[in-house]
Amino acid sequence: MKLSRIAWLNIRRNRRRSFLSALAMLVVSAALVFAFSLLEGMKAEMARNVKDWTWGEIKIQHAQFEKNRLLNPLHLNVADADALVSRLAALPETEAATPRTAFSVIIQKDERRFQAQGIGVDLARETAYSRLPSFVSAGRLPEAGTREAAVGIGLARKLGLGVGDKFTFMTMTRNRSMYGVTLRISGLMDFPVAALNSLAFVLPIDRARSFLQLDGAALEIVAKVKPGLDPADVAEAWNAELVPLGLSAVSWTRSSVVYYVVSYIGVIFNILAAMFILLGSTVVINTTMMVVFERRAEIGMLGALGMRADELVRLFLLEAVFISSLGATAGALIGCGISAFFARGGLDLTAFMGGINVEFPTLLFPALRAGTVLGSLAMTVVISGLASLLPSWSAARIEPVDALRG
Amino acid sequence: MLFSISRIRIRIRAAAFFAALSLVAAAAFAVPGADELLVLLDKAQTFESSYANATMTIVDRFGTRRTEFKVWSRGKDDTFMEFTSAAERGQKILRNAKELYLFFPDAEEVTRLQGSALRQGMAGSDISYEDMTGNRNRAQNYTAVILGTEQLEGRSVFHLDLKAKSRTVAYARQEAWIDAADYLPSLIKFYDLSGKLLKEMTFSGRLVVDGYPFNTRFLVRDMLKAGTSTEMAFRDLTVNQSLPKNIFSLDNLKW
Repeated sequence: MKLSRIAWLNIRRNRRRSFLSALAMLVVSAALVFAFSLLEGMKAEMARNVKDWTWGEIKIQHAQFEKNRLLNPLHLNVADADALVSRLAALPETEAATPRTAFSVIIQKDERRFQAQGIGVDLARETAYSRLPSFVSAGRLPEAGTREAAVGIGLARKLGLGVGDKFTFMTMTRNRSMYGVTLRISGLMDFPVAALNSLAFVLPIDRARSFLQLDGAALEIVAKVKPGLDPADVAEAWNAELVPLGLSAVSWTRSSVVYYVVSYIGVIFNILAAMFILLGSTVVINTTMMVVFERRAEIGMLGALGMRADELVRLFLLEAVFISSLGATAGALIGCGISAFFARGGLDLTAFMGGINVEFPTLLFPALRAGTVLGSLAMTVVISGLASLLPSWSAARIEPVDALRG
Repeated sequence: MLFSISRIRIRIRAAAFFAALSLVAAAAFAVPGADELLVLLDKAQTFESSYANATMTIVDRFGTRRTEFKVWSRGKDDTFMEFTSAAERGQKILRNAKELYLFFPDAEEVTRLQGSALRQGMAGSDISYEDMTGNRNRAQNYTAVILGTEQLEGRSVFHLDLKAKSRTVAYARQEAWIDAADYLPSLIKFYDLSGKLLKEMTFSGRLVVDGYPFNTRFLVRDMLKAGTSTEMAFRDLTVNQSLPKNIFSLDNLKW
């Protein structure tokens, strides 16, 4: 009789044990598939947030701005920003472009001081660029020309304010002079970046320009290129015209800061993935070894009946591979189902990250990749097979009489 | 005998006269004590009321700009400032004995500055809100030692070392060069507790207005910032004239 048939018969002979072993593989496989899809989604979401919010796919700013950023150099700006945005938006390679002006503020409330960030935005263009209206969780976006702001939900919670309330902040103008402004909260924002939720409010860029004394300027213009184009190439081409104006366009893939952040996050993700694999492997190894050790008497019986040691090892290897293949396949399918479920509406972490001031996505969309699903499957099966080898070798070496004695 | 008695009397009278003359002369040319000099310094800068138009020229690594404002003061504690230059138009500052308030046209609330915020540069200059409004109380806040008399820009000055009586003042130590004739400051250096030089204020443009001597210009250098300076120039000075009613009130800030 073929070893594979004997292995299959052994699996069917003790269905409860086989089912429990397969169940362990199923859980590990499902967890791995979901965890990897979550990590993939997290990476994609972070990249999207960098392109939409924290940097822009291409960022255009004054060539000296980044070097002096800590000095709050509002005078190092993009003059006549609206005209430049219109020119960029008309280019065939441009998907969307919009001006932005972010500035630091101190909000004083009830003898307490809160650091925050105002972001002056062009409300119409921002809708096309970052889908801004989709992040309004209560009320509405501010209207151009008004003293209104939409505040991140975490910041509003810290201030104890809601829609319709007012807050006053202090900031520094282009002339590095202290200035105070009162704004009415028109709405609350549930930004996709935790740091923005706990720190930021958006207001019409015309109002920000007025009190920051920016006179038609913006601190930056962010732009997206049409799908299939490399933003680094487009930025380089634009720089031919921008550099003589004292401006520079930098793709998010060429920003040292962003690159550092993404690389750093990538390393963290790899460590997390390794931990998942380690945990999964522990379960697989434990289950497989327990099954083999439990069957030492049976191994002795098979040896007494004339089965060679190498055949015994192959038999247990085949059993482990069959069980883990079944369990892992079912687990991978379940993992895919869970990932697909959360991929539709997203996994909302806003409640957990309300007070956290980090550039981390608050809404995660698991992303399924064939490579990670097949990799999880293969890993479960291979580790299960390898884990069966050691106890099988050890059991196959003992004398049948000793094995039968238990 | 009679002759000699009358000569002795004459001599005694002459001696008494010269002794009295010497005392008067000594009193007239006596060097004031250090604490007395601080009182005189405060007095030289304090008026029942005063008003001036001022221009602040700020130079830093990003260029040069000018800010204009009107300033009213009363006694040692009260100062009111209203900015008139286009960039800052409508902004007001009120300082009284205890508090410093800011008013901005776009803010519905008056801002009370406190703590480290008082040391922020006024309108982005090297002059802090505290420097601008709270430098007329040295006798109350500092103890002084005279280090000597010197010549500075051709004028005789007293060189004083001032140490803060408490930690509530902006500067732990000051070195002041005070004009020996009118007790106006010629140069003041400000230090922190560790002895590090923070700022240097050089005064110039001496002018007598309504019988009172004034420094119409002073140049401030923040020694912690490279390549920055702020020059303040006063004009249209008036002293001890009646001021608008309630000018030093919170209501006037919002008006």
